[in-house]
Amino acid sequence: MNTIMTACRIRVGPTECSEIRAIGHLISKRNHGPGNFMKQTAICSKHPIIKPRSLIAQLALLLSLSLPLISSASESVPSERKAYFGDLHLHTRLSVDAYVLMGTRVDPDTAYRFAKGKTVDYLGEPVRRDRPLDFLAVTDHAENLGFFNQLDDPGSELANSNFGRMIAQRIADNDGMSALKEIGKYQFEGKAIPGPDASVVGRSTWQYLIDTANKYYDPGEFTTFIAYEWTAMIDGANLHRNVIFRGDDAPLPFSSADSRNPEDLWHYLEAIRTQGHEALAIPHNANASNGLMYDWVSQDGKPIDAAYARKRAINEPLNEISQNKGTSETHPLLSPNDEFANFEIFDHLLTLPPRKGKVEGSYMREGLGRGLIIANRVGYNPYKFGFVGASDLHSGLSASGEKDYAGSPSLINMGGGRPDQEQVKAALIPQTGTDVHTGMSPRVASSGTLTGVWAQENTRQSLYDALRRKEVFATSGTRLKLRFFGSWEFNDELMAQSDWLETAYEKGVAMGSDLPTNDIDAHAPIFAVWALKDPDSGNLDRAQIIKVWTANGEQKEKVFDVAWSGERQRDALTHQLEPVGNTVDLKTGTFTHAIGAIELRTVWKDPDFNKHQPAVYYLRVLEIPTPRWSTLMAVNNNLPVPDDVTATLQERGWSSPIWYTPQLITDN
Amino acid sequence: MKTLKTLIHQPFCHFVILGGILYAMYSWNGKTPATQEFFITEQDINRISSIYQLQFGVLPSKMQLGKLIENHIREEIYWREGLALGLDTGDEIVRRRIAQKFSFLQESLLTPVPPEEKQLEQYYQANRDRYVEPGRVSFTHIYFESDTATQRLTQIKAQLKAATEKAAIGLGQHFPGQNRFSDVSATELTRIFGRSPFVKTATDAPIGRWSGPIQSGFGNHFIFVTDRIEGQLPELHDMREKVLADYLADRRDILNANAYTRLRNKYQVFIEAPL
Repeated sequence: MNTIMTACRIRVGPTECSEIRAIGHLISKRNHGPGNFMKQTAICSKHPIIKPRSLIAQLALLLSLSLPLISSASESVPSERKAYFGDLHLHTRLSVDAYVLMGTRVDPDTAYRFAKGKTVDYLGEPVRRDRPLDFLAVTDHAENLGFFNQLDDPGSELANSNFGRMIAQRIADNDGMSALKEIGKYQFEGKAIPGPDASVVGRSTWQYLIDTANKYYDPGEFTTFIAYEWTAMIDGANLHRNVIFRGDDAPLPFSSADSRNPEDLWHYLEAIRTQGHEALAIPHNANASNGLMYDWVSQDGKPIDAAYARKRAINEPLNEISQNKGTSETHPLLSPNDEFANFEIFDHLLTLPPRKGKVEGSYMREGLGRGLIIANRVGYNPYKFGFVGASDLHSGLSASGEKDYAGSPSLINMGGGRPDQEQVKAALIPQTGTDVHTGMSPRVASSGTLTGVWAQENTRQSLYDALRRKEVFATSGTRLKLRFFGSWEFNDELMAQSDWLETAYEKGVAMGSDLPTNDIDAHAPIFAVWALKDPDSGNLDRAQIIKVWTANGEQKEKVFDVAWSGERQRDALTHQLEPVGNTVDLKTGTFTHAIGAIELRTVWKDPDFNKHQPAVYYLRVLEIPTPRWSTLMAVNNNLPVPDDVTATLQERGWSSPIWYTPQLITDN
Repeated sequence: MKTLKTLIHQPFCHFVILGGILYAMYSWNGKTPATQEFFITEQDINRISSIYQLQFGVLPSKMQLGKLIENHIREEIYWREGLALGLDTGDEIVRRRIAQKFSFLQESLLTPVPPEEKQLEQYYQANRDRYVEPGRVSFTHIYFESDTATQRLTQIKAQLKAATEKAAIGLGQHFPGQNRFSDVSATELTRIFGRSPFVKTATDAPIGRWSGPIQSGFGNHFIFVTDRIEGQLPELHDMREKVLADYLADRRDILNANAYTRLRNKYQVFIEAPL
């Protein structure tokens, strides 16, 4: 060192060091943001948003509403379908909250490379996904898409506007929360930000998103979907939907600035369908919808009618059941007899600060039942959806599973930065004002979850068509596989046959379908159930069929244990199955394969079937208890395991449901 | 190249250089003249017009253009005066912007030379792992649950020594999947069996006899490999475009790293706080 001639001296003192740390969160390593693209992209809108208002337009739409453009006939042999796993909900720096609140600087390029299993640079650190995904949809918020990224460029009009300066200042002061609140005053009300026009940037950013999705689409290996999030919030109630496109091109997004009424979003989907763009919308975080997601009435307060029901079912064939901000399957208050209902519950609204939301109308199981009742009344079921899982992380890096989430950059602030020692402590050790009951503690957040798709091949067409026919399942982040078929004629020995799968497809219907009408009085529906463990996760505890039905206009639910590991017995009084046990060592965060099964299979006939009662059935498969991310993180960092959240959990999978609708509805 | 071109065309760059020269000249003279001159070129005016058009979709009217030029002049004067007062130092945004411009400038000056055919071939061979088509293996396996006693597995192992592939299949327990696999890659195997010793054994085990027991996420296995296709490197001819792009990208990274090292060596940095 002494021999080097010293031309300059630089001092890096304590002030600079802390500045560098703060700035580290704000600077992106790459500069692929929309700012660079806005100049290159001409202002053009190939597909203007159609807002049908005239009577003729309405009629035209009604006629065109018929059916989405799908070519499911092209799928060859159904029993050859494989399970592909991916994430249909992820944000990058182009989302306003990710950029402003969480300081995310990861762009969609990096998001795709990370999902494909490549090592990416995250603030100077190489990070890599535990296991690659098969598909990914980047779903940035359509509202002010890419707009605030202009603050990276001091010469931009936004950076020089009063509003932009105020936001930049708050970000620099590490007060992203108040910056987002300021933006929210406009955005959540569907108003334009004062100053420069956000739609110009939005258009070029959208083109960039399309191009990037196409760039990383590798048919057969890795599928990307062109997608975005429609972010409607009504008085703090989350009504968000992700829009997923089937094709290689897409019209401009319809955002909540255009309308905060989902019916208008469906109008848009129907309008673009007539132009050859097939897309569907996936509602998420029903748990934070304050009872609005599965309400009895439409947003303008009218009872749901046939037209509403039909449009909703056609445009929203799937709902997200679990993600970073909680699980929406059901709530212990709604399902007091379901001993596994208390799973990763987050019953707060996504407000700042979070406040408790209404439970009724906010969970999917209850929604399925309400759907049966509404169908009985109006002749069409609005809440006829399959299940998907996703991360909704805002770091640009999709981390699913407890292990990935505990050690990954996706934890803090819904995914803003790789946790260092201080952040780990902040996440795990209770602090005043952010205990778990306020909904503000990072400990209440869940790992990312996954969608499993039964498809012929890993292509946009094949995967999308499976989404459309709801032959999909959700998992809490694990890769266990589920199959679920319904039929009137499966025999008891079906699962012992080596060709059971071919028979199941031939004589039954797969998850997401309707049972054909029963014309044989004596029979009850029979279900074929199969589950295989994730070889990199815990063994299987049990398979359960959850039945939701209506009797005398009231909705009912019941959980049936249909297959389980070992020689366990049911309690004579409660009929509950003996628990599987728990092998987790909280000191090391490990578990063993001493309990549980690698595979579960059975046929099950509904013992309480009444052919006059509409019913819906889905499969839930539980793994043996394994450590939650908060436990793994504590163990990895030599900290005490948090005692205000569960230390272990039973990872699970949920199949899309199978519906039974009586031909003649007599149950009034 | 592109970055350099964009940079050359950026007025900000002209101003920095021009300003720098002016500033140096005045410093040299040791006095500040009473008036300064600068020119608004036709190019400047076109640029002002087109920025307006980009934002509002139409060209500015004559009056609007006059106002825009006036704004531009005001900005130019403020900038010069600000520079004279040293307002550019200690400003994080200016610092970052200039550092970024310098890095663009440097990157564009370090354009790698296209390789000779021989160099490309050498590069291709040296990085064969990146281009090789994955090897594939065909095998039969038999399965035993994870709680099978070691003694039992040892017995099976002994029995398998003499057993043919077919005869052995009956020895195993029910496996919830195939017992025979044809032409599968390591990646596919990992998807099916998890990240476990199983995958490595299947890809490495000798052909024509039973190996095991080996663990997977499901339990214990014995494997009988029937065929193996080693990973193959495609002809460079078929991969040329990709390899050339990778070569140039790698070279650029090396040139950049070297250039930074040279600069870094010019500085002695003292970090005065613990990290």
